[in-house]
Amino acid sequence: MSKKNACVLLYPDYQDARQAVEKLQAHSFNMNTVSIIGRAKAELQPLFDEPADDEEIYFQNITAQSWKHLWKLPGGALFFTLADSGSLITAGSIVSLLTQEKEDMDINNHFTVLATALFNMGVPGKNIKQYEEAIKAEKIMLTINGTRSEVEQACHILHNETQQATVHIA
Amino acid sequence: MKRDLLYYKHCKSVLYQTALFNGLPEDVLDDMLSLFRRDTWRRGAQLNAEMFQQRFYLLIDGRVEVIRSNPHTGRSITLALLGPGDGIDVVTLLNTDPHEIQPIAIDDVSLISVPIKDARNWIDHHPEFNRNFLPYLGEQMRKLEDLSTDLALYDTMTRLARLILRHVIPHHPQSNTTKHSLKLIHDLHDESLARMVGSVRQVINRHLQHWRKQGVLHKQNFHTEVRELETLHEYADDAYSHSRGKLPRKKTGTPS
Repeated sequence: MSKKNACVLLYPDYQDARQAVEKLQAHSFNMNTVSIIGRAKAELQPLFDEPADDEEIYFQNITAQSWKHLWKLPGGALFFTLADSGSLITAGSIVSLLTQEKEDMDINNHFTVLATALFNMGVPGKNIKQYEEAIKAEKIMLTINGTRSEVEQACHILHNETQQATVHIA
Repeated sequence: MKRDLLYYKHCKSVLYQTALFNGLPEDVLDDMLSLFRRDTWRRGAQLNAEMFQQRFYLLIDGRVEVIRSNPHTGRSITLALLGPGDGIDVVTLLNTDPHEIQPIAIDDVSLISVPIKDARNWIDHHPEFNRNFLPYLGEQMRKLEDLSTDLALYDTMTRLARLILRHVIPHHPQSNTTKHSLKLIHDLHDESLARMVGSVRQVINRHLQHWRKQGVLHKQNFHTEVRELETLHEYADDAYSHSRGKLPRKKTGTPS
């Protein structure tokens, strides 16, 4: 069955994205289909109220701290940099799409590696642009890329009046 | 759908221009849209009929061809060519019987969708929507009636002329131009047009070439427009002309 079906949700921060992942886990959802994409931020923040002796522990990269729960997604994690979008962190099944050889590309070469991966998931070109803009604006993108029934199930779990899900079929 | 999204405003502006939603109070449309989610289908995507037993889809951008095929012969007939504002397989809102159709995305398509049961509940609670919904259903029935009449009563050339005339965009009354643009079918391949009139590509291609040579149709950059509307009316046979108050004229130089 075609795997060019994707459900995409954009979250304002890592905390919301993490809760969505936990919600899927609670429903025994197939986590092999789940991916997270976000911008790697460089800000530092204190880990504890009181300063610790070791400054390396006292300050930690805010992104790394938030993402430590998401590294566990099947498929691994990847840190990479795009000329337009800056540094990005991804975890989950999208990692294999980002790292695979691009011999079978059927789209214009001006697509970024991220755009190519999203296109291969079934996201149309027009929407890819919007998602790249959203990531640039520090939104966190959660994707589910699987069979049509998996995508529908994920959408059923995560879509509500305040959290918009979009289903892409190719 | 969330109301603050740009896409939400786009959906509203598209839907307000359509027969199904034109004139509907804004709060009623907002209430309806709150139930929907956003979908896209890539050009060429073939959807299975089961999807339409579970969700009701409304087209926002792009075109969808709804066909039915004979698996033994491979022949297909187009039941409907849908554009922005059209509902896909609206029959599922009326009854729960399985419906054998195969929608195909002709363009990259944007849609919104809602579970069928939620759509039925919403219609139950908003009888005012029936002022638009029932005439829309009537229009869809008339189109199917036209299709079956054409298939049974007319030859291929007449069917094709009638199909093209149904898709001519009406001119502004004060416009003097002789060019008539077509909606939905302006850039379709001969194969798709053949499916719409129950014929084959080669026959359709022959008729279209004949009309282009005669100057009835003009094609540029894969975009067809009508240049001689009256001549096309003549090819469309008596019934079409009478139904629009025009006198039939004799055909000339029709290819075999």
